[in-house]
Amino acid sequence: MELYRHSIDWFFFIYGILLFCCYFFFVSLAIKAIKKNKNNATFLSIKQIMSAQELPSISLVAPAYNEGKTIIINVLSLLSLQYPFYELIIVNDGSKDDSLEKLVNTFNLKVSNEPIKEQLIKTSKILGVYKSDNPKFKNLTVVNKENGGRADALNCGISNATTDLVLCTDADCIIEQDALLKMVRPYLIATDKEVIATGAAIGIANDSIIDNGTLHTLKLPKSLVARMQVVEYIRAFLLGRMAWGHINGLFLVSGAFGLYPKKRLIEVGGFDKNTVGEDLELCIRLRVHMERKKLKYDIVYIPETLCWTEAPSTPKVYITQRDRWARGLYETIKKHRYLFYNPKFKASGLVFFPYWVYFEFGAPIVEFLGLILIVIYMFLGEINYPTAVLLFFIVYIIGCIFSTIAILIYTYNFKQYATYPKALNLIFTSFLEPITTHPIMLYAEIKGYFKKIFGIKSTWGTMSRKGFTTNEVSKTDT
Amino acid sequence: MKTLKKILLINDDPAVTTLLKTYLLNKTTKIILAHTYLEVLSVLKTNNFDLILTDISITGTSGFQLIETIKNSNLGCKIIVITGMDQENQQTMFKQFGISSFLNFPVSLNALNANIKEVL
Amino acid sequence: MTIKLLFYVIIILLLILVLLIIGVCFSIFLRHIRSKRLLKLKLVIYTLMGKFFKNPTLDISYNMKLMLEKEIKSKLKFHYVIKHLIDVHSVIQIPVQQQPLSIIKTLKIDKRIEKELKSSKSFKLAQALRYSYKLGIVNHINHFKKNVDSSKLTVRREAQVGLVVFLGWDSLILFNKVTHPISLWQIIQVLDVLETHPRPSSFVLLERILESNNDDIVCLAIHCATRFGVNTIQNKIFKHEKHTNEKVVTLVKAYYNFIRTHEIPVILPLNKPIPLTKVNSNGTI
Repeated sequence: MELYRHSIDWFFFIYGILLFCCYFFFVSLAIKAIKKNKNNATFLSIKQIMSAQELPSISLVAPAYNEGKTIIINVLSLLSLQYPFYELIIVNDGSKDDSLEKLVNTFNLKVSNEPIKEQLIKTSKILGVYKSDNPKFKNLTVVNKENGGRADALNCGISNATTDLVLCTDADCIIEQDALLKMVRPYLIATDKEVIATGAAIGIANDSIIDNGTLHTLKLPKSLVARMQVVEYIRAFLLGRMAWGHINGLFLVSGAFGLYPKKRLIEVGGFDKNTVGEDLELCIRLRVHMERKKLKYDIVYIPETLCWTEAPSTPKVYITQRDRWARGLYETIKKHRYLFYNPKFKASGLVFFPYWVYFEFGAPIVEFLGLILIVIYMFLGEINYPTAVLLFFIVYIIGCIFSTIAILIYTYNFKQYATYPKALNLIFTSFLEPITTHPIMLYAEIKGYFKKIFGIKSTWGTMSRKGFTTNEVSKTDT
Repeated sequence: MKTLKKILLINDDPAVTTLLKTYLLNKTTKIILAHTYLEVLSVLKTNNFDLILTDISITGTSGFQLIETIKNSNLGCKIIVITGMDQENQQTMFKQFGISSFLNFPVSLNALNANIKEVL
Repeated sequence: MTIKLLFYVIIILLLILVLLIIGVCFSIFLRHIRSKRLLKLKLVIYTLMGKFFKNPTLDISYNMKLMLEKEIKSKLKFHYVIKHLIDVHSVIQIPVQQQPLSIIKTLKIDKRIEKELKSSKSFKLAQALRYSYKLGIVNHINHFKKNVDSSKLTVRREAQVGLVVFLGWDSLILFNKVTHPISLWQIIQVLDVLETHPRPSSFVLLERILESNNDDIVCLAIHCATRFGVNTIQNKIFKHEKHTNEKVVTLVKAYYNFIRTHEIPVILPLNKPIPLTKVNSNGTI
């Protein structure tokens, strides 16, 4: 019995140490990766990229569903991205409101004379392809189709794209005007390894001032839940993704902002409609595809924040989101379980996929079991309270240290939160994370796994959005 | 007394406008700089310019909005666009927006002089 | 015993945390001060260059020395100053003969770059090579020849582009011997540089590299033919229509489309950009 209990304790202890080592590893790799990215950027100036003739063409595909209130502003904002060979494809996924009508009226859209192309990826029925006869909006295409979900809408956009690369995003994301010029860099410097996906850091713009479709003034979100996510995103993108990208171990390029070569997307059949974690699933499928073809490939992350989005600002919406992410992770791991320790897929199967199983998928489970164990020990009176409290405190401070390291790396390299009030606010918010949003996230993730295990149906859920604060700055009379 | 020719220089980068100002400034010219959309709006309200040298877009504007604003506010003023994106497909867009003369970065000083000679 | 140990661990961790928070504050402070100073420096450089363009006979090296000599003692400012001396080239066209090399020599920038050219770190070496060709320091050409086939990607790339800067169209011959892959960015750089050189009287060298075993060099040749509207080697390019490499095939198609839709004059003017008129789909110009 003693041995049994000791081995359980040792399991949690070793898991904790391994996790800590992984984070430490991430920090050192991330610092190297960010430096490498900076060094590469000095050779590829934006001005020189902007004037080049031989750039790959890019399509931006944005699905839209019932976004009537803000669709015009969103489309105008997306149309203003600076890139010489660029087209915007908005896919109206069977909106029940007046989105399509508004688009047709504002942009002088007419049904295109060209016959509907054969869809390279099967999607739900296309009702019409619209183009503008106003030369100002020459590069806008709106595809109206029956409702099929986000993945289906993206696939439809991809099929209709006529360019080399496709950027998948959401219609209500705010994208920096020079984002495409920066995102194309990995494709420009690729030699023997083909770049099959590029991602960038995503920022949270809750309560910031948006003017004319661009981020005018960045402010920290007022809600605690949203502010926690700012820290979480900085940690995840700057430490996690940069580190993985450095050793070609990236498994996830966010669905909110990912640039892919169109050819490879068509080859793998686009996004999977049957999972809610379509971005993670696509990335893994792209990797497997290239491994099977025995072609060298790379997935690159750019540490700069190029896309701004609205994060859940209330616990309820936050739980819905994390529940969905957990279910997506469960579905993807299950679908690709053949990768687990499979030497045929080299590092993807032997190192990266197992990491995802143990420390991404497994972390909430281990934590949940650990909590149950603590409760059991409490009932059995087996807890040595002083030691337990001190151990808990140590784990808490280590968590704070990693968050602060992430914020330090961010303020050193980027200007966004580099003021005393914002940075210190973020640091102290991160101190609250383990006792506020972290338990909520744990609850949401376990709930998600529960639903999958016991077959409880759930879908995307409606994200009730507050909308960004728009300021009519440009119209005020000075 | 001859009135000074007023020139407006618009670009995101204050260094670029400073360079151009240093080059163009002489006894016959008065030069004003604008680096943000708000500055452009306020300066257009209070001045009538003889020549405007501008980039296609500036921080805070989308697409050709800046060009449209300038065209709508300054009648009969020569507008020369200086831009980094000068590919063929961009040039056809310029024509659509009524931009008759444009230069690309890096600017050839001969071309710049030739273009502004008519005004000055 | 263990309680004591845990206490010590907690104190160390708290110290680390406090140090990190101080680090954050310090990095914000540094950024604030640096950005102000560096912006002033940038405006000084651009203003002086503006004066130079207005009056090319003006010797600005004295003024530059006065204002910048002390500043560039710091490594960060040294690189910043060079970056902006180079960036001025992207604002105003400076023909090679008129480049103010006197500034480089007065501030002893060329000597410092020469030191970096001996560095073993690939980033430093590649950066020094780039500085050399952007600032037109022809003396360093031997370093370019030495590194043309380097095992390090960025060094190789900068050395190859640099040779095109100094040798113009004649440098194309060296690409015949290049066996490593080259990136699209390198192709773009080479083409941008070739645009600043007078057109060659014949494109024999281009024909030669079109037959290279290295697929990326074939791509470079076809991109070049498309960019400069070279129609004298049409047939040789069309021979690559059935090439094994998809990239090459796509480029051949793009070249064909370009030739079809643009009217290219029969006699090519030597020192001017080729005037290309786009032909509409109904045959009108």
